[in-house]
Amino acid sequence: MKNNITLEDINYLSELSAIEFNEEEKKELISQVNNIIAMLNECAEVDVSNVSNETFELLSELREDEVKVSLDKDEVLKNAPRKSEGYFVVPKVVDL
Amino acid sequence: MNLENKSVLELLDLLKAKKISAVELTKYYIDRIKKFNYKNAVLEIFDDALLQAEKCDLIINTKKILPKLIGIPVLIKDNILYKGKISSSGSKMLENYVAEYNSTVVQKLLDEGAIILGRTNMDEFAMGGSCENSAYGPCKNAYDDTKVSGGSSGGSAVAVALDMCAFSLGSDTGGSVRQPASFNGIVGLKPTYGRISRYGLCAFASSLDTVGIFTKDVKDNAFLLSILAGDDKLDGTSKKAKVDSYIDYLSDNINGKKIAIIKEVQELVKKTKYYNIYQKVLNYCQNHGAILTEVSIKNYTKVLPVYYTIAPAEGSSNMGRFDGVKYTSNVKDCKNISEIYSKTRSKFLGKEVKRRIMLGNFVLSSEQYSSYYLKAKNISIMLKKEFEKIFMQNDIVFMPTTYGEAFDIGSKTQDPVSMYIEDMFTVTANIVGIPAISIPIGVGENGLPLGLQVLSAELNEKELYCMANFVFLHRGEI
Amino acid sequence: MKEYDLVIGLEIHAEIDTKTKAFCFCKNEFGALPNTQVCPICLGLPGTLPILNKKAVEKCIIAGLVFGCDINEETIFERKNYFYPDLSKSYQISQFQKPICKNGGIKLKNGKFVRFNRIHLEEDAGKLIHKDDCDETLIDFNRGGVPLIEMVTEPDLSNSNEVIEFLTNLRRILLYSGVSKCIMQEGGLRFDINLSVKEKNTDNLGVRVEMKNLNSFKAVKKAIEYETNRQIKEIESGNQIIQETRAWNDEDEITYGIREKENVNDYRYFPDPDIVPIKISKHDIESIKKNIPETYFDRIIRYKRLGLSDYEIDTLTDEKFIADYFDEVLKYSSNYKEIANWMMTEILRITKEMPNTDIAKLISPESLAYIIDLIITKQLTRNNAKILFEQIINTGKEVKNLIKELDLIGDVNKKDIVDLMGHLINENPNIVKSYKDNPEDIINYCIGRIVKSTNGKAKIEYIMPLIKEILKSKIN
Repeated sequence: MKNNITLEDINYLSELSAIEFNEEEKKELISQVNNIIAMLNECAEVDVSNVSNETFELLSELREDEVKVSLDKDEVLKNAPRKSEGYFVVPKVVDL
Repeated sequence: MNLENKSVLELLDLLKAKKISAVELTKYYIDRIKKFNYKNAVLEIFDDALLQAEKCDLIINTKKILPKLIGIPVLIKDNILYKGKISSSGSKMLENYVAEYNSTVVQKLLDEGAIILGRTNMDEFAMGGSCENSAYGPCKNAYDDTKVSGGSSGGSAVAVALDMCAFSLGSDTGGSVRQPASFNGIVGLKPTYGRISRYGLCAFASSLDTVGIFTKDVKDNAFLLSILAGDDKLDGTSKKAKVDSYIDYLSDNINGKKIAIIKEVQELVKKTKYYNIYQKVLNYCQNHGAILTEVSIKNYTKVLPVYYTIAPAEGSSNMGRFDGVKYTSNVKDCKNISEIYSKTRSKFLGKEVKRRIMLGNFVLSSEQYSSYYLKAKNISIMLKKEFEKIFMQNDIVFMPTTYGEAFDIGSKTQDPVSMYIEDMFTVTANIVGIPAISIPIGVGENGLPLGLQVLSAELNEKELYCMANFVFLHRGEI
Repeated sequence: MKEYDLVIGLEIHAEIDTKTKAFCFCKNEFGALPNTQVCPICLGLPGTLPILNKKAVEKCIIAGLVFGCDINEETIFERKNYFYPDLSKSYQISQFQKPICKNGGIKLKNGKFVRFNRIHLEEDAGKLIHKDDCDETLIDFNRGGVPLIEMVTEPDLSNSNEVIEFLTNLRRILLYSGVSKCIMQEGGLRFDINLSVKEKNTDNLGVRVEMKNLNSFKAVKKAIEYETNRQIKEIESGNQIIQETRAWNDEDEITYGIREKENVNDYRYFPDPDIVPIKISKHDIESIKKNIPETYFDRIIRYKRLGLSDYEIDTLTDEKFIADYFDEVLKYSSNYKEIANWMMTEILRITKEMPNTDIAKLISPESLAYIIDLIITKQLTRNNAKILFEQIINTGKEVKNLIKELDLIGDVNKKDIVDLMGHLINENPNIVKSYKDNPEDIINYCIGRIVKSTNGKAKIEYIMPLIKEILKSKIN
């Protein structure tokens, strides 16, 4: 559990989220997220030690391995901002 | 003919008797949409609406056996995919995104001959409770332009309230159908989780999302659920249970029905101006033979933090796919892939969505996971069991839909927590997975509508509709 | 000189052999045009939901059973969240807390038991194609959503020979149980290696380096050797080994460090809310067990009982389709030794000359068995058998027709030989004269001529004494 989010936390979360914020936005976020977390921390007092999931699906009920028609070829790249010869295109990816 | 505020069932009779044509009806609604354009409830009228109507008229004039919704114009929330039409989820991110396929609900509507008129305004990616988070501007309350419509399905609610369509579809993850239904004086159902297929509903929080139905009365709602519900091979979480013909069970008799009232909810309601009218409803039902019992759920108020842990967590993961690679919106001239991700997401996602993604990533991050996400999931299982116990002894649970009437536009946008607290009564049904319906029961001190929530056990929409119909029909006497 | 121990653990990904992908109805097939085996689900379009393929789960259970794993009664699927362009949803559906299988392992010849930590089911990512001539990367999602099993071992391996033995067995076990086709050239079987070097007889643990995405045994062997040397060199020059991920360059045969983002390791795993947890009952496991094809080890035992040598067994079983073909031929002929010989020579040769062809279509097991039986019953000479074999492969004609057409079978009797020798001596009376001085050459010459004029039907062992007899009688 955490009581106070810092600028460092915001930077970490911003990287995980792939969203950039300017300094002002970060400041606002720290105070807002801290307020929200204070509310979330109300859950801390609840004892959940005897709880377990009871919703299951049986293996036999899963879908059979049967091919159905794939997407219409023209539809696949319809919304892609960059495409070429049937591929989606992004700037060269160097890192693994 | 005066078409104003006709129910779906009334319209079907008129269409089948050829007293009105589908084209006539569609034109009527298009005129209404244009007349109330300033409310910002409808984002787009589909250009083939009249063409669809003409086809319906042809079918009505030539066929003997007619599809169940022939000629009925409907509006759908902007996050329900309809092949070939833009489906933007109220976001700039998907401003020009054209759906490649039909959602299961849209397919059912089309199969039954409904006319899909257009798409309605919503909080971006259904994250919000006021429709102020739409990238296309807020939707205004049906009764007061200074008040919010509620959300996230604000557009769909206002559209039904102002008779811009025969009925509409929304989605409900934490109250997004019931709260705007309450704020605009109409009927809004959130079915059992998995009752209506989610396939083709742009996901917000997958374990909580449901497709919901807005109607002018309870009877229409019951009729429509029978058509839209059912198991779907394209939704692994859809329920296999049998779907009833719900309107066959509606009655005017609640004698002996057991209604549970939750003590912890009562304590919250007591402090509000809503209490009076709410109490009157309870008394009325009691006087008509219902048996009221007070039950207690010690951890009831934890639903709110539980909801605001689970929903942002799942939402943050579901929003990951909007990365600027596969959908229209992206920032040009990025040097590398990381820039595409961060610049596209920073530019095209709105404030509240970003905030929830950050929050979601916080509760899921390796250090916080067990104290937040896992804990919240476990509390939700506990609450589910509590409700199962209540429904072993009772048929129905009553609670308010909201703390009060629609609030002022802009009054809560600066303080997210104040906005989140509004969801105290609606998130419960999502966390527990049970059905809940909001029905109008009167007006508050500002003269704006107030709703009552009727909840029933999982998959027991039959019971829910019975009770809701009774209260709805007698609301004038309360 | 200091001595070092190697500590090696493996992560192996094998594509599961199913008709459809793990979570959608698209074909699971290699080699289609880019983005033609995709649908809204595997492209991760808004509103789509994963629909788990029963067959993929069952095959993962089979993998668990053949490696002696425990099968979890309850299994859940989790989302592994990270941004990468080959990942259509920005999360991979994988398993974390409750994988389908845990424990199990493979025993090596030296007696060592290499333990599995787990075997789980997950989806493959799409394929990135990096173009050399421009600043673009292309994405093909055909592979996205293909079911994979990930097998994670404990760090029980200590040298590259053990690793190769382990992987050879692993591949064959998967192949024979029908879990995976294990086609390494197509990326159907890939390896990550965790390796650390530690000084012998010390407690200091080495620093773990991960090498990713190797896809041949040769690369695995070379990478282990290269990395071992590199780490020892670093240690001996007093440098710290950095904990990092390295890639293998197949051309230069070196490993190199790859830059990774700092936070990339926080995958924010959580149970995928779109997939309900699965219950696997004892009954499920029993009925899956019944349908497991003959395992690799059972096949070996059966071949041993037949009397095949270890070398023959090893060669025949390396590819399942070859062993399967062998079994088919066995159905029509009991001359297993001769069949094995033909498998080891002719059949292996044509599978190398014509890869990706169905041998049974080139020559039916029944035809091969027929030829072999003719050899054993001495109706067909070995030479003629080879000619016949080649002709079947090349022309596709039916074996019996070809025998007639080419006149490869028939008895050559004493009278035939006497006549043919008479012809020969008439043609060239010198034969008799030279026989005295040079009997061997003359006999060989006569054999050659007679074999040729009888279309190969004359068997040397039969005609040799006759020829000698005739020549001798002529001298006298």
